[in-house]
Amino acid sequence: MMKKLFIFLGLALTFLVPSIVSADILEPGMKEIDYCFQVENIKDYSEYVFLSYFQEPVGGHKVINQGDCVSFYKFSNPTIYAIKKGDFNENEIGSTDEQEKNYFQNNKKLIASGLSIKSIGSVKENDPRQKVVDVYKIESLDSALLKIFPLKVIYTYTDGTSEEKIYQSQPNSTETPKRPEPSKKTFLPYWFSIIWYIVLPLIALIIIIAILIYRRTKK
Amino acid sequence: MVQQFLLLIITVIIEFFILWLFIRKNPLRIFFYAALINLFTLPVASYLYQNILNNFLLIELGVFLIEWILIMVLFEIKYYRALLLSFIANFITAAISLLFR
Repeated sequence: MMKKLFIFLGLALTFLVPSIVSADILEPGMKEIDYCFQVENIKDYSEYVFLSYFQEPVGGHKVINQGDCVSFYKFSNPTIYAIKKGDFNENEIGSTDEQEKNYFQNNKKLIASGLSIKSIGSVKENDPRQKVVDVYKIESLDSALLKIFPLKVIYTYTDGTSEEKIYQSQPNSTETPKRPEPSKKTFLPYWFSIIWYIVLPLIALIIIIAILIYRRTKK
Repeated sequence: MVQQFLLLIITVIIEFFILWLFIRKNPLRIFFYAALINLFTLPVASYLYQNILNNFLLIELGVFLIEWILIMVLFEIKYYRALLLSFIANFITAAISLLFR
């Protein structure tokens, strides 16, 4: 009986675990890009505390200070909140996921931005981007509403260069604008870049060495 | 993709003609060696340029030095002759690539 149970559990794990963890496993030919976001003008709202709540699937939160670049688990879609300094006590958030969720969903003193920030996640391994930073700007903040919009994105490439691209959106627009495309893009398919950058030079080098060895042995 | 192959073919043809001008024997072998040299240097150089060192002159200098050695050992010619051939070949191909950038 126990043996059958172990076999069943083993089979269940074999089929279930990969589907649970596969989201975290980097597929071959893919790489992770460093991603974080900043809020540019926090210093202009010194009477408020700004919070980032990471929600599902891992939870967690962070107090955002001026100059902080907030990174998070790629499948979290954090939301930014503001709260008056006098109303904020970090201990009230609690230590468990449930307490934290309850705090962010039911605390009337929190002013939600309604903005859902999305990470870049994984990209093709030959993608020239190494780091992406989204810079947000607070447009307005009062006791009921926090208006915040994406201002610019800073792309840092694998060759060490970087560029800033401005989001093409109106500050009053309700839709989250699309992130501007980077100037440097993957211009070769992954399979071709493997052949082009690794296989061809390696074959050429092997043939060159073989020619030289053949000549030496012939002499 | 097509652009990469075209660049390789153009570079091989130009370097073949330059090498053939100075080493007037066995054109097929010269073409084969020119192809081998560029199959090694061009992809490595373009990878380095796009991902590690965004400096055209330094990359070209590296290619020139590597091709100097490869020309010398493959064509079994004196180092100063190989140096001259590598310089002329890379100067012309670099100038062309700058023109069509």
